[in-house]
Amino acid sequence: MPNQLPADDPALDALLDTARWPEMSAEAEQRLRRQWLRNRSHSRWPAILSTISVAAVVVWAASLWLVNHTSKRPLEHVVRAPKPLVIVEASSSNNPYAGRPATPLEVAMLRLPEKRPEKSVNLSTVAPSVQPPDPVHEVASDPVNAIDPIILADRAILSNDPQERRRLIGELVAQGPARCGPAMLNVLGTRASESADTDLRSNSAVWTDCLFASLDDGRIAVRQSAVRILAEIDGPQTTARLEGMVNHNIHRREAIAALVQIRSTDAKDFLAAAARSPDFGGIVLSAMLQHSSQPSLQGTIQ
Amino acid sequence: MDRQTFDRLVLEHLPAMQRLAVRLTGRTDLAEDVVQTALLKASGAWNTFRGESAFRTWLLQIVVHAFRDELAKRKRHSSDSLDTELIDPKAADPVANAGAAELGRHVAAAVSNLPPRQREVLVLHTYEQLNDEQIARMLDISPQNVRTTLHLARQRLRTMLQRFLD
Repeated sequence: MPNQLPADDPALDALLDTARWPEMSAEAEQRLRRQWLRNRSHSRWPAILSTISVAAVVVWAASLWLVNHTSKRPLEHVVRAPKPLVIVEASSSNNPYAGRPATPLEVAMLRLPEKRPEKSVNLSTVAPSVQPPDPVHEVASDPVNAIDPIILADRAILSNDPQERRRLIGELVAQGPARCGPAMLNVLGTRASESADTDLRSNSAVWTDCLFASLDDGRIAVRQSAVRILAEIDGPQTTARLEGMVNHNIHRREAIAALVQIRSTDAKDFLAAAARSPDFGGIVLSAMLQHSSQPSLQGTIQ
Repeated sequence: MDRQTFDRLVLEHLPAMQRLAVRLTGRTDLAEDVVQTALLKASGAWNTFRGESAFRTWLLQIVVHAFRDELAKRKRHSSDSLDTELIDPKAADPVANAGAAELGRHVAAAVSNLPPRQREVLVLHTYEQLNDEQIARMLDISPQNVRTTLHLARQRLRTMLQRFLD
């Protein structure tokens, strides 16, 4: 016996060799063979089904590809030229900030590029009589046919051609603040906005309107970004519009958050007065605390 | 191994599976049930065979597992024991029934009446010609355990078949 275990009892081994068990009948063996063949065909069904599924998917994909490549006309990539910017006054029904239309004198004062003379702010006297914020500048555009501003912004960011980036930004701004707000936030600080820097400066009122429009966005992140960028602008017009928003209870919380971040004396005086006011005191203090607990935002806006 | 080769090998080894099942159960009807269960197990586990052991060893291991399942099933229904139709090796007089075939049936009955673990080890060693390492791997026990179990099985058989030895 070719075995490693010692056979120390040859008599027993000899006896064990005589063992005769009953043999299974030929019918039993046939039954087992048939059962095995049945098992085998059953076990192949999953493989067959998966093969059929894969083949069906391949045929479907191939036919789809054939249909697309035989009947499809070449895709025409139509890019409309940017429309010239035309600044018009907004109608009060579409503008969340609008009260009455600004007088020519107010418009002229708000667009003064230089700092206005220092003034002493007395909220108790100013607040009731303060003028409503500058109405958002509407830009003539065709909102129905216009390309989605987010897509325009993405194309401007991704484009390698500075002229193309500039053209796309122009097209974006041409859609007006009501549409371009969140898209402009995406663009700012990228090479796209750098390419269009001159245009943006020359149309600062329009793209500032985009930022103000973003304060009305439903997403907190968009509103916070708009607040941060408005604070970075830190100009007299922006400060005045933010003060007007506070006094007219239009996005008061966001406006105060932006003013807290602005370093100009105008903003500081206004906030000092507002902090003493029973109406605004709590919000101002809350915004100040929130701002002081945040890391410096210097350098986040290019 | 592809499925076609596997199917062919199973059919080639079917007689060995039947033989082992009969030796373990002692009855052809129970052996058929055991082999059926083993074939089902083998069919479901064909792609787990990695060639680390011989195909025959792998199949015989499946038969042993199927035998244990059958034992457990019969233990739950205790009225139907595996031993019901086995010949009592002590009952018949070997001298009176001097035929070799009769002796062989008595010896087979003695083997198939061993406790299950001893029966598995003795059958695999004595009749399937497997060494202790192979048996140990198949039954998932140590080689020393195999040797000890085999020694106990042989001791028990010697007692049961003493009259034939004398």
